[in-house]
Amino acid sequence: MKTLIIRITLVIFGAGLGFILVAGSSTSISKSLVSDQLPQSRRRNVVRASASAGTERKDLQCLIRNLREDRQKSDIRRELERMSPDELRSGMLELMEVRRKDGTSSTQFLFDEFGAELYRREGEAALEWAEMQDTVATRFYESAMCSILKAVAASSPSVLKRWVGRLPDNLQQAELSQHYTIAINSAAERGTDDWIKAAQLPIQFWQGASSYSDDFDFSRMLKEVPNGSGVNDALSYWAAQDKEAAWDSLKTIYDGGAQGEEFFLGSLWKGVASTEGSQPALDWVVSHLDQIPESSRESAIEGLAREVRNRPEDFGALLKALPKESDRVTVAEEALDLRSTPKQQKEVKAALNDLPRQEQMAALFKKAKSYAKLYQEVESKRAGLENLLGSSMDLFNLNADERAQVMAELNGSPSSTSP
Amino acid sequence: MKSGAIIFIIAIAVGVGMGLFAQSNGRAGKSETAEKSQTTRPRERDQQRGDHPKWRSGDFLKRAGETAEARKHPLGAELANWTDAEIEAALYEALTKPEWLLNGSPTSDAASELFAEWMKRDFDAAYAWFLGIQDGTAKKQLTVCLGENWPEDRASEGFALLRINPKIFSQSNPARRKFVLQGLQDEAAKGGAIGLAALLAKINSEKLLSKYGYSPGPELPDDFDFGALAATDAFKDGWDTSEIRGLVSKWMAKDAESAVAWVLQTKGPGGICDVFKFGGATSTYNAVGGQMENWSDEIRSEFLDTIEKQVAGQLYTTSSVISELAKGTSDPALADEIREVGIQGMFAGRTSNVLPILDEMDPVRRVDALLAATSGMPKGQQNFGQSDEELLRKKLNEWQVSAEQTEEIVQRFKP
Repeated sequence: MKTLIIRITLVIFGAGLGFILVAGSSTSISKSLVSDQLPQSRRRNVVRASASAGTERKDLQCLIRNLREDRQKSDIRRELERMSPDELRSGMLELMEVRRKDGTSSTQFLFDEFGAELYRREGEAALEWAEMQDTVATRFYESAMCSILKAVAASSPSVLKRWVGRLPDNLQQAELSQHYTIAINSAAERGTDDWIKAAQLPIQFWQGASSYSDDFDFSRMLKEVPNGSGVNDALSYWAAQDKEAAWDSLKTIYDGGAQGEEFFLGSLWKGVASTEGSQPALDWVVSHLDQIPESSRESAIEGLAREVRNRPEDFGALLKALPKESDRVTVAEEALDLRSTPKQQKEVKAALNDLPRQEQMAALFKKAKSYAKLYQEVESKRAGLENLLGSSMDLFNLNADERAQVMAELNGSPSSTSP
Repeated sequence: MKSGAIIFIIAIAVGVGMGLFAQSNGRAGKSETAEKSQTTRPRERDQQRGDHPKWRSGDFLKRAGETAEARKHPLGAELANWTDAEIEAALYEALTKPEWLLNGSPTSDAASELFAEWMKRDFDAAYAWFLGIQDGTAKKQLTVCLGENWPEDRASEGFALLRINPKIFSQSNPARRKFVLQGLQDEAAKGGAIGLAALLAKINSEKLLSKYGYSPGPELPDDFDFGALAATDAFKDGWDTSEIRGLVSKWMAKDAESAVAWVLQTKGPGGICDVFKFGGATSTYNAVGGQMENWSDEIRSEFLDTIEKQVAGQLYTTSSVISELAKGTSDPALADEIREVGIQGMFAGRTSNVLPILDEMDPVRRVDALLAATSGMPKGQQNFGQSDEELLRKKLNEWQVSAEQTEEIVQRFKP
């Protein structure tokens, strides 16, 4: 009897164990199947439900994930998913009416949510609908179009580009910039291929994306779109993570004969400085200067100077760190443009004043030459440029003879003492 | 015991078989469900979830209003359960991240939320932590958070900090104003005009008043004496700051006659436009519109010329100005004279904004004004495009303007 009970127990336990082993694995498989197949918004809900079910971890990564989910909007999005496209359209018309009457600030956020949901359901048909709306009385067309275009920008830069081209000219530049920013940010999160496509948009400002995919290929970015919007910001970010890789990639560009974009070397310094401190970063960048081909060195140093100038307290250290006189003259000449050197940057002025006289004069001659070229092209600029040069000469307290030499350079008749 | 082991192994094998059978059935069921869910139409989903009626636009507006504050701090509710030590640890972790170099990165946003929460519950500890971290990109960004969340009752400490470190905020950073000046002004204004003037003079002497942006100005007691404030040097010396212009705007809304007379006398008609630019509000525009009835032709003309010049480039700010100015006057002819200046905006390609203003005009005067329109902009800057033309033609048709006049009007606007 006892043996029988043991055998029955073994049968039940063994069968149960076998069942659990297999069924347990199937549960995890089906979970991953479901989450892979659900559309994006539904996946959001799954994550949300699982997160709120248990006690959440309290760390930065968890916070960042929750920030991306934006839970404050979850019930609104859930309710929007329940609406038909017709209901979404009439809802947008009603919201527009509310906004027209009382200018409620909440309507813009809601308008964007409605626009995004409509685009998710109907694709470009949503834009075609907005395009057909009456524009005169309500500006509805522009508002609806902009809200839907934000959703377009987030998912498809090529559709955005097509519609911006198709739209008449009453889309505001500021609104377009907003769409482009969304496009470039979203594309960077999706990956390098998408970012390279988005970088073809006619973006006129310089700002990096807010985040990049884990496998983002910054080297390809530099190689394929060196003039792309935000490349310098991205390079800084990369350099902060892996300065040697960033340098190798930048060196390839210099070796290829490119001058390097305006801030490239400065961006490299900025990134390294953010993790190692300004001075070690300066020393590190300067130690690599001799690897830059001579034909690219001057523009590379200019780029470094422009970025360092944004942190005037480091400007003196830059001048001290540079090994060659020609490098220091390049930096000084770059900093002498008072149009972009705010008056309060005392540190920059003090550092320039500490240079030997011959380097100050060399910088002024260089500046005068570049101004002379400018006003040969546009004569009307002459008076303004003379003033600017005058300010630079005041900065160095030049005597009359020195001033005359600089002005002679400006007038295209350099004296025998100028280089 | 040997037979027991054999039975156990057989039993496990049977169990595995049962498990596999159940799994295969389950998979079939799941995949059907998944497929179904892919093709489920919205209305069917409604039935599945439909434990309440669908929301109407009013429900969305209500919910948006309820969550407005929470949306400003999307992690606020979650962080309420964190200890100070947990917040500090996460902030330290954030400081090590290179993401600060990226504009608006989720890392810096989360760090700002952490810092704001800490400031709210233990300002001294949070501020001491902030002062102790290294200078750099992260600190610069957290400074904005510091300004935005600076406690209202510690404004004088903020001012002291700003005096020691004036570069802590750039001039154009709105956090700078909120950081110190707002609370200080609120406090000083309670003591009346002279107290506020003394404070403004002090702040201005430190060059800490703002040259940019809009300043809401301090909360003022009902019996605040604007006349006494206007008589002080602080008011005159600070004219080009948004704080003083914000105060003039408040004065205009409360006592338009005195305020407008003071501006005209000290700054001329262009001074009114300066106030609009830095501190305008609907009530200000209405008040000035009402005062325009009393102006001489010369002043009125100079004022409208100035507005007209601004219209071409900045209609988004000036279309509402024009409309509200016109609404402020009870003289219909003057109202139409004001509206006419909006026409310049059409040359700049802002037809959709201008037409609602023209809609309010007397029909005969409207057509006359359009037939006489001349651009104040060089041809190269004009931007009346195809869509503008379509809109204008549509509206002229609606206004029943003859085909001949329509053609003449449209041609006037083409660059």
